[in-house]
Amino acid sequence: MRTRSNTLLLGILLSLAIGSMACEEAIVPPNRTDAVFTIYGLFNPKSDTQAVRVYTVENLLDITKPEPIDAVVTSVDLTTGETRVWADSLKKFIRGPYAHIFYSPFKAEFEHRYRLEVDRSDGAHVEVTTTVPPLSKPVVKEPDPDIFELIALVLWQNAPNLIDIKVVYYSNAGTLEWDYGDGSERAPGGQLVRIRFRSDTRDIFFEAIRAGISPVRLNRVEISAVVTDVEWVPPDGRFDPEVLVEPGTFSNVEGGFGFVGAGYQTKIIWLPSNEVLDAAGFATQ
Amino acid sequence: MLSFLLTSEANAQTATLRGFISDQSNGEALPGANVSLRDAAGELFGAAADNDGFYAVGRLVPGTYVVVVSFVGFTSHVDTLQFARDEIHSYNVALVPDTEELGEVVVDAERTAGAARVLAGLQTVLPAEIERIPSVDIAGDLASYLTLLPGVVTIGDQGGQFFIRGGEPWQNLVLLDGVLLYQPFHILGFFSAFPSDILNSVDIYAGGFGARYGGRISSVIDVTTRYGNKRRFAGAVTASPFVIGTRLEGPLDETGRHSFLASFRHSIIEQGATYLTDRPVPFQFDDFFFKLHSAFTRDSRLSFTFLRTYDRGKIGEDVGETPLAEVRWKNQMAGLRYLVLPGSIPVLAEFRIGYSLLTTELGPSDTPIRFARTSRVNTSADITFYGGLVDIRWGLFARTLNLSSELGGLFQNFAFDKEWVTEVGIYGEPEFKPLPGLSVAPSIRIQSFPSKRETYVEPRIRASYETGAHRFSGAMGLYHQEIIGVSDRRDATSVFTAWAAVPKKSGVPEAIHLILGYNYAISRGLDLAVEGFRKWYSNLFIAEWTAFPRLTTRIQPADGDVVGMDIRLEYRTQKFYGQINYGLSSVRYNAKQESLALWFGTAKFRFRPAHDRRHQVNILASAKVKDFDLTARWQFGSGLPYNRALGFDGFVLMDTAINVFGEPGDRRVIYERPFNGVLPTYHRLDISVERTFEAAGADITIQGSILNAYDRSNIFYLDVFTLQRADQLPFIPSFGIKVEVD
Repeated sequence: MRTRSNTLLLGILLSLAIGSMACEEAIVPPNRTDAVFTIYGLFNPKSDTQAVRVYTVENLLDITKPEPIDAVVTSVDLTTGETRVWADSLKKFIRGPYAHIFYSPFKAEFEHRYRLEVDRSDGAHVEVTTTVPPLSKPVVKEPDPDIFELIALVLWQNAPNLIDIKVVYYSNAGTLEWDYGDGSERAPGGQLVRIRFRSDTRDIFFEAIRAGISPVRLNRVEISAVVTDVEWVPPDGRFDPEVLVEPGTFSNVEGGFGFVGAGYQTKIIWLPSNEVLDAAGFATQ
Repeated sequence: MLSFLLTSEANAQTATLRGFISDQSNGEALPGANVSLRDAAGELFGAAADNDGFYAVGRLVPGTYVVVVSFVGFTSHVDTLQFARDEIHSYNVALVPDTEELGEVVVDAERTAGAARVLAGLQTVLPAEIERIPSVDIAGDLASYLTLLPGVVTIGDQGGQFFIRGGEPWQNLVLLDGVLLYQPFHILGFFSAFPSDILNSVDIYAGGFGARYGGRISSVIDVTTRYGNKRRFAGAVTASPFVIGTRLEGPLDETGRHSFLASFRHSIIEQGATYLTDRPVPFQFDDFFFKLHSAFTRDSRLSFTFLRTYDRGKIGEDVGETPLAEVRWKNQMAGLRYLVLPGSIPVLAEFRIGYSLLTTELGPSDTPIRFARTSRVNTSADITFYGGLVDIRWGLFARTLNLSSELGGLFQNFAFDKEWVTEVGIYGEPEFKPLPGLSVAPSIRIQSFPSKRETYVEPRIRASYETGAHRFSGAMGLYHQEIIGVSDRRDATSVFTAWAAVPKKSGVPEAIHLILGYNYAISRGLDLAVEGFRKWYSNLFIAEWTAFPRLTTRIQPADGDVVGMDIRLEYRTQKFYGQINYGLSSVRYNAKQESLALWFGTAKFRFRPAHDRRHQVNILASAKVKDFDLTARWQFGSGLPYNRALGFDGFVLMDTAINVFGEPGDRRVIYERPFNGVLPTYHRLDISVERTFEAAGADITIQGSILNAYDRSNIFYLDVFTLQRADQLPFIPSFGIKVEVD
């Protein structure tokens, strides 16, 4: 009798398990985000062609296919009202996916405001608006040779914002590049960058000693930066890809993701005076 | 020193009885055997034997006592002894098996252990319980049993990773005869380095463990192996489509005091089980165990244990563009243990020296992508003073660890390559028994890392009170872990773990445990256990989040909070065994990645980690029908959290006036909040039929089993980038044979 009830229990267990076979569950595809496009690029007044990279937001992480994407890109010059429809182009990177790059052969105007729109045939729409910064030229104010740090001041006149600031020192002991990032400060009349001439050039002397070069001569200094609109500022002040990769963290695209700014590259060559060179320890002509 | 003081103070004028209880038929220790003494006035004194069969009864007033040594399944031993003042009387007893009652042995012996006899997080498991679990192999294995426990979560049947009451695998302390093992669970989740036929008993602390254990913050699995048959040679050979194995044991001489035990298993999955399923099962493992044991004097024991394991395989399924990397690991362990009863004081002294080594690799064997090597030498002395109303255990230990790794760009903010770490410490663990049925064991552990200038003081307490059929228990404690296992936990299936000391500027992982339990022996054979638990974790290391579609990542600090409850109902008769258990658990981590404020507007982000299984049900039923043993086991687990993607786009770092024609960019995942998705539920039925018969002087057991009887597609791994899934093992019929000579 007991054996029968035990077998019955086992049978119940078996039935319970078989009954649950009907509960197969599948992995559902991702809930689509409302975002339909992601756009990256800039309006560059020093370029003859304007271009943006357009990604469609997809369900799966497939390699982008070469087929055309359902997107129409237009730009509107909000200052003049001029509208342009941009052309699609397909680029295959060597170790990457296909890229849809939309472009239009025109020169963005300084201080004009542009709206870029991307539309899908079903009516989905994203847009971004940006203002091209005014023309700016950097001006260098030489360091005071009597002050030990030898700080040079470079003022980008009328510049709303600077990013990717670089200082390159060319010497007979080699080339040395310093990345100042976005280390400018707002100043009357523009953006100011403080170049730490003495500390920057210290490594040149170390390299010269190592290579047995004497005397050490500094041929020139190249200072470059990208002048941008005021929105081109990362949220925590650093262009850290591990931070900015999170969707929406550094984005100005309405209805989608990505960042479209406006800016242009500038560069100035500075030949320090003999007094400054002498104060820093370089040989003079 | 403390023992000496207590000896003179508390034990003056009284006598102590102590010794070892063993099985006369094979010389094995009989843990749980009962020793009771009755004096002329009828007052009772007593003690139970520990895993070595050792017992001690202190504070005996000089006089005459009737001593009864008993254990279910054995004929009781009765004697009359006289004790003089300050006498320490060594009295070893070898009990003779009572074969007529054998049917009751398993039933009653497990009353001292058993699934529903959990005591403040401690469950003692006997080999017979392990062998009851249906498995793809005819021999039982501890790994299969662990998956039966409520509160133990596995990601799947591959990888051998156990999450115990919210703790991660690297937070579990696994000891084999007192020597630490780093990764003793085989790559196929049914197997470990612990086949049931070499085991004496296993103490599993799901939390709240006392001060004798340290260096881990979640749980303890303390495995004690048998001595080997001291009377005659015995052995067994097993074979199944998954593994073949052999065991040999016997006396080393004719005195019956020295013995050996050896076991070897080798997987044949690729040659066998692969043909039973429609997909490759690319796993290989083997383990070799060897033990020497010697009772070379009446009052001392010496044992040597050696273990070697090897695992190789590919975890998951090749669902993406990049082929799965092969992972390999190898454990080697050797331990020497000397146990002695000094003649003049009522103490048990244990001295150990142990060495353990783990090497693990990921990638091609000639050019691994990642490599880690961890070795540890441990020396310790443990002294237990038996005082009657209070037993005091204390000990000293010193350890040296050598940690080296090459992580191939993984864990960028864990810049370790090779380091030496030393650890010294002391603990004290008195157990007070002021009233019948009441036991209170406050304890303290002080461990110091001189090379890192860190010292931790960890107070703990365990207590229980038994009255009639009811027992109440509780435990609480503080735990630290200086040596941590670093693994890519974002990839839940990852088994590659590198061990490292916590970086100097980081906080050391810490946990506080709280357990409250209640047991009720409802009737003979029917037990109920309910236990609530909570663990508070701080200074954990978890993988940083990133929207880049890759599995290598950086580490971020986090806190954790685990709360849950287990309910176990166990029923046993001579011919039927049933167990139902339910585990309810909630695991929450508080991530503290610097970017969180920017991403989510909060400095801390609370989420469910990938091992937070909310509900678990296990049903095990075993019946003897005629000459057949039928066993069925059904498991259910609610879905585990995972990172659900909303879509995929691309990312271009706009840090300069880029030329979009020349910038390839990166693919990107648009995630929901981390671990917001829930995978499908898990359930599976395993069944087995077994019959044993005698032939040519050997016991031959034949087993047929079905794994995943209704072929449930239980998910093991989901590639969130392609939505392709890898499932756990499908319906697999298996069979096995065991030939045993005893």
